[in-house]
Amino acid sequence: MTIDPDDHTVEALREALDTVEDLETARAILEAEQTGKDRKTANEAIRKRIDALEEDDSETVAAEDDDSAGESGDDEDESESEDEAEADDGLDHPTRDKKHVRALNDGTYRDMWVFCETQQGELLDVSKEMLGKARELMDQYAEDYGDEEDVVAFLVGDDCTDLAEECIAYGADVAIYHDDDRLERFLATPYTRISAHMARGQGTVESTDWREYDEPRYTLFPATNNGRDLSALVQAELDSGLASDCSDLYIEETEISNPVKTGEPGVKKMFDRVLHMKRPDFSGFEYSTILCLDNPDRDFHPQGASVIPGTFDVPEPDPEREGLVVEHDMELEDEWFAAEVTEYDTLEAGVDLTGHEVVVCLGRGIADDPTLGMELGLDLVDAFEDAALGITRGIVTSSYQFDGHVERYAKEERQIGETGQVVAPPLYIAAGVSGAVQHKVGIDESDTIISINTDPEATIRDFSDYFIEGDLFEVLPKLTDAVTSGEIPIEAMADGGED
Amino acid sequence: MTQTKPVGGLEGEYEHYEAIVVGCGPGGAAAAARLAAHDIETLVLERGTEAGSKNVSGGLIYAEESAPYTIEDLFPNFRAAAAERPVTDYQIHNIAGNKVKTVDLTDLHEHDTEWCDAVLRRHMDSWLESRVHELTSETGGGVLTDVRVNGLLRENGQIVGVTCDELDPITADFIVAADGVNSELARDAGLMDWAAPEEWFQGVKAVVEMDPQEINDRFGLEPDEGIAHLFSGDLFEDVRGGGFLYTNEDTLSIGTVFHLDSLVAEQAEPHELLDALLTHPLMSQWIGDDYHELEYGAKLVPDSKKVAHREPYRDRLVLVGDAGGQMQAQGPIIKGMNHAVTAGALAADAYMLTRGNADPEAPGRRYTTMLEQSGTMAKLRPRRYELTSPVGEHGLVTRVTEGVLDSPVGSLAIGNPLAKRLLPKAYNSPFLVGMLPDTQTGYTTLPAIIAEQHGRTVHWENEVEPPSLEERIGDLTYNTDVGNPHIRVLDNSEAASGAAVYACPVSAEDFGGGCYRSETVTTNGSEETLVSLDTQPCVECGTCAIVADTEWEHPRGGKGVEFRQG
Repeated sequence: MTIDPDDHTVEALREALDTVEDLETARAILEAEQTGKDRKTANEAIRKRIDALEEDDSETVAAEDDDSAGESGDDEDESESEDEAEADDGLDHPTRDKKHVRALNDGTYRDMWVFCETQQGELLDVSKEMLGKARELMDQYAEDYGDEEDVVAFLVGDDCTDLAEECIAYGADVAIYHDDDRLERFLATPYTRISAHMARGQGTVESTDWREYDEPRYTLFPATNNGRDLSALVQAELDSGLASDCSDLYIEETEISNPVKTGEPGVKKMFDRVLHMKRPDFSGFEYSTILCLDNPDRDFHPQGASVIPGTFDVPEPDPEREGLVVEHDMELEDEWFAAEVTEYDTLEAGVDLTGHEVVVCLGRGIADDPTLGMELGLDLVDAFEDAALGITRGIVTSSYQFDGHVERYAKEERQIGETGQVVAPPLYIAAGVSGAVQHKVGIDESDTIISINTDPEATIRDFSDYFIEGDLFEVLPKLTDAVTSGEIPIEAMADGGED
Repeated sequence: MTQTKPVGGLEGEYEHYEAIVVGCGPGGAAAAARLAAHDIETLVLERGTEAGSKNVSGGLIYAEESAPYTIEDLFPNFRAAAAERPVTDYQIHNIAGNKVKTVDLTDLHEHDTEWCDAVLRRHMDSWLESRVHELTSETGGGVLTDVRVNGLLRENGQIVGVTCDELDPITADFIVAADGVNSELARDAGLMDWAAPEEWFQGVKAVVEMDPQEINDRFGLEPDEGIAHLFSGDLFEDVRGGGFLYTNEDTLSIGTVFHLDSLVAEQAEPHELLDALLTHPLMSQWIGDDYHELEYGAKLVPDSKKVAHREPYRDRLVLVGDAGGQMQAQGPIIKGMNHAVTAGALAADAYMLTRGNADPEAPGRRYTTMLEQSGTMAKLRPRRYELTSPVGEHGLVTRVTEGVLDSPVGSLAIGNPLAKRLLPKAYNSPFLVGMLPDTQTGYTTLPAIIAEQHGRTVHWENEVEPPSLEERIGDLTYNTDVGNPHIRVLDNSEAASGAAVYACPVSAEDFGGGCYRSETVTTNGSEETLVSLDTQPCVECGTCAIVADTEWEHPRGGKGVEFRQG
């Protein structure tokens, strides 16, 4: 039953509207009115009816749980309030039945634990960065609270003894590690089990007698691929929360009025020694500070975060620093190794043009015969003891057809300039390079710049120490001969070419 | 919010806002401001690192007396805070060689004009952005910069939201595409395409530094006055288009605007055309050997007469401003930003009026009606143009008119004393100007003959040395997305993409430092000319998307060129 509002006076429409029980119908009437007579009073009447119907409607939809106060860690609380709303959504909730068997109440917590990820037998930079930050935080902590608590590095791998020592040098007081041949590469299950086992202080007396607490107060993980994986698993295993991908950390007290945390409404409670974990939202457009706070009847410790690599500075190592290195002891079950790494690859590191005595760079001046130009450039490189070949962006993005044997030199990995590598060798030779500003910034710090160009007006002349006006196809072979025979010093050659 | 949200579906899965506005230029800002005024939760997504960093315009914003909204209505204090000088004087110069005939166009300029200010887009749009952020924050939204919306989110074939490079998809009840002339949303929705070059203009502009006092002296202005000069005639050989010079607070905006098809046909280099204007003797009274260019920029301009979309909506998406082809360019009048403002505000109002309506297209239909009823569409696509153009632009007619003008009789007609009196009148009639067909006659032949017949000869020395293209590119700021070029050439043969080498404003024949370069390549003994592309110097104007065979997208949020002036 639809109503055509055009057939009604506003008065009659009001009565007719009372019979409309369906929101869609009411909206259709509104549009009919708007496209028809568009009477103000009629629009109002219809809108009123729509509002009334909407209100009815919304009563049947459960209120949204708007818990965006920037607090996490109270997973339990969230799942409780969602239970009602999602009671009949027909989805599986595997976490619903989870019992917090290991969750503690009024446990003792101490120290800041840092998971130090390794790769190919070396500590990742982010591991060192976190150790430096942890040191700084715990030194401040000692000053603020008068309690000396430790920075504990924990490592898992196949040969971590030396790395554990290194962690001490980077600021750890204790470094605990677990070695096993099968742990050379990251595997979620054993890494998680070992980390949780360490954190709870389980294991032999010798490996645990340095500590007297239930679990760490704080834990830090790197927000790397593996670190993200591990951080979520370990914090779940320890029945606490996690603030992922953090970009700042500090410890201070905070006053909270949320009844879930205080135990009773209307009361404010002070939490001290709270790790404030700042993380970017919306890809860094906004920041949230995440707190992980105990409930009155259930603890949320350790307060855990994963840290974006590069956030903090790598500290200077102090090889004299003293600390305790502990080998962790635990039986590893075979079934944890059901997942097996069958294949892996190391990504090409690319070409590093820095650190050479001489860099020879080719530009679009080789256009007439790109392959020959490249060969001539390589000949000159070979003539020097320690030289490398670079190219301009103009070559990388060109459609030049290079013969197979020199094709690999025309790749982006050899590009010099703003969007490529920045070089500063004692001697830089640019052949057929015009000298666009984007190129200039990549070579500006070179000691001596020699350029070869057919165009005496080329920009590169402005920042060259020596400019050879000439065709690189003729000049490069002469230069190579001179360098090989050692008969003419380069500078003389350059001077000569300028005539 | 009393709005109930549908349970389930994509709208439950993703972040949801009642309204999303893509782009924070004048159109997007107007839409967002009106939406916020209606208390609607509005998220504004801007791909620049700050609004205005991706924008270039010739530089005049009008407030029309007949328009339902002006930018000052929506953003009080706009003129004082965000605009440059008002245009208080308006002249057109018809040029033939050294001969120049100047006609005062102030009457035409003032027709229906409440005010008109010169603007620089970085300054203007960033000011708008901060106002929009304030307004939208109050209703639960805000402006996010460095976010590039790359397409539409659909559910069961219906548009329900947007997808981005940087963020997860976001759903909305109402989506305003104000993402500019190269709108990715308008294309995704199938409403606009990269069609023929004849539907577009290309503008290039130099922003030139000049002391405010010097501007006053050289242009004969008081501090609160400004002037607009237009240039037409044989200055640009046979390329159809013209030039402009506007005075800002402490800079000048000097540029040229050409029909893209004409640029392609004449194989013209846009930067050389700009240089032709900069170095013309006439200019020496205003600019000299102390010429210092701050920024070189370019943009495409849709020709609203041909492409302004009559029904700029699909599902819950509406197009606003350049994205919907709403750029009025008729003869010497160029009006774009004011129409974008009107359209943006009307789109927001249309949504408010149809709020609660179950049909997702209700706001779009209402917006279309409002564009018609407010007279905006009639300005963008005048009926009289659609009546005359089929005849006027027909090749034969052009040839005949040209023939007449070149013949002694035709020239005599324009050259007689009567014509001298009528000429300013004809130029100053908005009706006549609107009827001028877009042929060489209006742009080159007619002004050149006018200058020949009526002009005085200019003998000044012009000492301006414009920077080279290499220097211009070097002066621009880029945040290059290394290893992630936003344009790919699909066919690098000269036939398919060779036009980009000269039509691209940052490329040129025999210049290796630009975007497009033609290269002679020997493959298995046979020589062929190929086109190669480096997107690093790109100013994101979109020219190559039309004249070459490319796959064209904008760079990711915050990447690519960053205009400081705009």
